[in-house]
Amino acid sequence: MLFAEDLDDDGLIRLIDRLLMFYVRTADRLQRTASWLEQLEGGVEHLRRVIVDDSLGLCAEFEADMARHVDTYECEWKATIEHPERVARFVSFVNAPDAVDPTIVFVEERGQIRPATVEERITAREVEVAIR
Amino acid sequence: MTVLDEPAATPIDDESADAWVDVCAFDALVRDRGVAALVGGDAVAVFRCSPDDAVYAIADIDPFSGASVLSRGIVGSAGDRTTVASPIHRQRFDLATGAAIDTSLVRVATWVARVRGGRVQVACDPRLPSAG
Repeated sequence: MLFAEDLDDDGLIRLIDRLLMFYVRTADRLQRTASWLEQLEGGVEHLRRVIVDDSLGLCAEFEADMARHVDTYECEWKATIEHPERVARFVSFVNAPDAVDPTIVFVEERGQIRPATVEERITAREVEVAIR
Repeated sequence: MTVLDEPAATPIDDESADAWVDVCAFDALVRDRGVAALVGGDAVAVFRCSPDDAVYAIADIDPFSGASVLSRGIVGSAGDRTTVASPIHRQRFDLATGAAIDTSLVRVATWVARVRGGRVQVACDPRLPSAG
């Protein structure tokens, strides 16, 4: 049995929105979708009735919940790089914004960088001093 | 605003601008958080602490991990001592003395910190280790 068919993109997204919000409302904290579905009384057929046939009359609420979530969503990373005072928190030294933290040293391994071990860090400094 | 009560091991000439390194505006410090500053080549962690807005300066490098991270640690207390816990393995240090709380074997360097004209300043030279 197919869960739903002949959906256009908007219909598909609407159905996913309903499913997610039904899940958010009824799942236990940290419960994964698979175990949620397993424990859902009536199983997939019940789920289909709720989110496709709107048997509980909740689909409009589910969609409104998702719309509110989408409208108020803020990417914390994006918001941070758009605010200079937040970006300023990411300097190594507040009084020397261009200085690099000298304890952060990388070495190359199999063509990729990884953090140096304590011993390697000492050697790396010696090499650096020798080059100077 | 706040100067530590403890006298510096070496007398500091208040009038000499050379004796102090500018860190940042006092208002830029978030209470019970730290920032890292570069003081004469050393990474120094500077904290503004509750309840009296005392300003402390200790070495930023966590001796247990070798990482320059104490400024990102968690400010707390042990008895009447104000402490910071390393964000790596959570060892705590007394912000006034630099002494590790959970072992008597480790101590990080401390600097005298003060606020002048709304700016946080740290003495160029660390406190000399006191006897005992």
